[in-house]
Amino acid sequence: MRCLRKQIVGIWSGAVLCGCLVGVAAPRAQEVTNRPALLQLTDGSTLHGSLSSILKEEGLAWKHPAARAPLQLLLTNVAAVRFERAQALNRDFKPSCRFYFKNGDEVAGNLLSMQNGQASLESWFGKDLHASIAALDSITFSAKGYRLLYEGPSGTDGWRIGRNPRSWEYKDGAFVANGADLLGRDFGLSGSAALEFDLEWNGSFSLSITLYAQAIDRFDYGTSAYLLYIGNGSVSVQRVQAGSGATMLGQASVPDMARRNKMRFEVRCNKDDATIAVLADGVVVQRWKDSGGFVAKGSGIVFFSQVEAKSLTLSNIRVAEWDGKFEPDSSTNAPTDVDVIFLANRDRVTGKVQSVEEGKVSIETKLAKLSIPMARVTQVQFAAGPPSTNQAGAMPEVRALFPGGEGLSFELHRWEEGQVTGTSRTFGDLSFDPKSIRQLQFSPGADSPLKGSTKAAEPEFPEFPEFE
Amino acid sequence: MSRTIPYSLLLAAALLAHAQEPGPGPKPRPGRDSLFFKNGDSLHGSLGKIDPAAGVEWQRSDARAPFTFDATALAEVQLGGLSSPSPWTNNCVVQLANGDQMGGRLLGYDGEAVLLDTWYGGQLSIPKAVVGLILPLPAPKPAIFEGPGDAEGWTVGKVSAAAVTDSGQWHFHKGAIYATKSASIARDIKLPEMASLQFDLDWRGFFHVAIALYTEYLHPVSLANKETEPKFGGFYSLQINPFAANLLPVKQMDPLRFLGQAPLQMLAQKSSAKFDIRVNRAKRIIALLVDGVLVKQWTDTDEFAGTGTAIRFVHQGQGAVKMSNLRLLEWDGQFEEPVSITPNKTVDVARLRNGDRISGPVKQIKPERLSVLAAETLLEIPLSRVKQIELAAEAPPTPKATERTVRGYFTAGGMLTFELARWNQDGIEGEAPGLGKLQFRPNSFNRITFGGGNGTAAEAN
Repeated sequence: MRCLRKQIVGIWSGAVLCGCLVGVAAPRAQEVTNRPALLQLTDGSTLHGSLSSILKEEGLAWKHPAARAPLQLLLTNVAAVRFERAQALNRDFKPSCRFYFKNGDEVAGNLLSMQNGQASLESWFGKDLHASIAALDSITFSAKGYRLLYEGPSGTDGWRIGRNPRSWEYKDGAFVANGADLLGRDFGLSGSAALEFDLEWNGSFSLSITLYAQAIDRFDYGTSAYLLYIGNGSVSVQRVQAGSGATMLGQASVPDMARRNKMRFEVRCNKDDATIAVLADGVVVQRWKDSGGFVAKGSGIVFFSQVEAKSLTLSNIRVAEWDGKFEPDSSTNAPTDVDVIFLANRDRVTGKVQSVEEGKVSIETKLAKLSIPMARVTQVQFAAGPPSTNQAGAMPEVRALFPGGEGLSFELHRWEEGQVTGTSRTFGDLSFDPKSIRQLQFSPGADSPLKGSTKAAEPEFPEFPEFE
Repeated sequence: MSRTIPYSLLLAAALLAHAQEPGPGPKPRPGRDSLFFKNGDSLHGSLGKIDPAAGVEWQRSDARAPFTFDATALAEVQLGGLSSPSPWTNNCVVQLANGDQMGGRLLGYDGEAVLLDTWYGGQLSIPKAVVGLILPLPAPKPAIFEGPGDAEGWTVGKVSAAAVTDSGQWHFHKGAIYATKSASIARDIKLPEMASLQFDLDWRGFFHVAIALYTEYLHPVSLANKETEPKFGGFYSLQINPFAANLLPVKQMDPLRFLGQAPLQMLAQKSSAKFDIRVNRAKRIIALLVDGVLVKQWTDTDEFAGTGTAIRFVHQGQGAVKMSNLRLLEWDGQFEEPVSITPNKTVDVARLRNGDRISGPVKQIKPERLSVLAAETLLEIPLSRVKQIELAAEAPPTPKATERTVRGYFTAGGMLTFELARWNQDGIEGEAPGLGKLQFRPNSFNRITFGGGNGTAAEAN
């Protein structure tokens, strides 16, 4: 499992935020107040409205449009709050690292130093933060300023819907296909890129995705692109080449789809290698290579639901430029009891990381102590430690999710308009404006139906353990 | 030309045949209630009370105080934990002119009004003008078998066909059985000569279930190698997947025969359905109904293949499947026909179970007898021979729905549209056109929709 996670995070290590989130709206200040939101309870209840407050002792107060007074709820059964119109994180520096913590937190920032078991870093919520290395799972370093091109959806703005504007409907952070039609957007794709999305289906479905499409409002076999088909239990990829027609690159089965109705898909397109890889729930399904080279020339992506019935929901869509690194071997074979440093030339060094100072990382290997320039390092994977769990008697934590995929767990003390305060077990006391939070997950480490962004509550068979 | 009534009326009638005896006052309900809003929101908890002016009070164990919602924002309330009525007290369904259906014991009709004794609201006098139809119900037949229950009595088999790489077992859980891998389970439930085998199926992804009927062998049989399997006698294999159903008579040494395929397009976008398999052994007829709709009737031109009285469910390993509410009933050989109402009739019409139709003013109905004046002759007909009675009267105009208009769905089937005055733990008060003021027991309804519509719970879910 640890290895699979690595494969996923590897991509987003490149998606370091540069303050250039395209898909996240930048609302006016007054719009942030009482942002529209969706409250999800662990019993499957869902309520639109707005969050008034969360107080450690009092619980959560929720304004619902049909309620005579704010609903006051204990936090025991609160699963998540999903906010509309999250603002991009405000930072005055360019982050070059992405920190992954053993408790699932992800933070983009800069590594200032590492010594004596402590990492010093800067992030949007602090210029001189300190974290125990024991809490770190890995750090990835970007070789260049990769960009997150889109994260959403948060509405239909910027999207092109086919013949019937109601055929794809936006609701609560997701696109719902009400019929056979297309949904396209120009993401400005140019180089290698990665597309991620959650797909939920009901019964028989067929979804085609045109990658690097030149036309986003129609199927255009006169231009070159790649077509990815996802159906019940299988995926396939076609090359569409202007003047030559369509050629099947291959097909692969996804057996897990047969017993699921929701999965997270990731499509990694490497233009240099002319490869397209598909992952389902973090597991590589197949990687196809176009022996004729990468033919697609467009910059858009088009989703096309091919059945008339209301059968598909797309959510948590992320599109990012990608450095093209695809290293399943390094991930899956990495030893878990030592630190591993991955280098730009695909070498790796195992041992015990001693320090990071003055642009060099020092590692004690079995043979010698090495000092490696940080410019050569792409990732540091720390030895596995005991799983991070809530300490006995501690307040249950929340995890705040931010635009760009960052996530931060902390004990929530107080949430009021304009300010949230809490205590992170990694960073200590925190205080920040919650306007950038796009989702708040409660008890993320507990056995909750909403443990991760891709794990929504299952209304059917919830009590039966073999059904997830 | 006749107007047809949805099959739901017949389902409701069947349910009403099991209505409960009046019991003591309200008891705490163990199940949870659900509140559905017009905007698609849903909230579980417990209904406190409904007062159209003061709002709907809703309780939750994690709420610091009861919530109060505007009724105008609500689409539906579903009430859980209501016990299913069991003793038979209803012998008819009265369908009102607006489509509502009320079940009860028919006390009589005097030419002016139908008098109905109901478990939910006592004696109700329903004026002829608001009655559309009276449906006398046959006495219900007890179930021969109900399950699946627990593992006792079931034989668990191991699916070991060459194509199966990952076999497992059906798991019993809260009265249902689940399978996520290839699995077989069987039981001799003593299938009668005329049988109706009913069950609910829920699934995830693709599913493929084979149901062996009238088998004597309780372990799975590989059809590809059936000749070399242990002696298993004969049976019918009904194979169901989300796209089609196939029926095969299976005999150990005979070649496999396909009796035909039934397309099941209605399952393509669903994840659950009610199945009903009807068998007439003497006529070698096997029929499949899905969600109350007959999708295929097969007739085996050879001798009946089944040599036993057991059933076997074999999950073929794809997808995940849950089977529940298994019931075996004696079948009377009849398929439920849609009920039709004679349009623009100027005189009462009685339809008999043998297909006869009698037109003339209904003079009187007593619990056991119908009196009709036809061709100047007063006919006395046993009510057991009567399929339906249509009363000719000019129906009053349907009043416009108001903020107080609700449609309550009776716990045992049927529904009533009325103006709600009060709903709390002590009971329900309201008023319906033609029926006047009404009082119902608190457990009368398991679902209520606001605004007189069908609610939006399905949308919300």
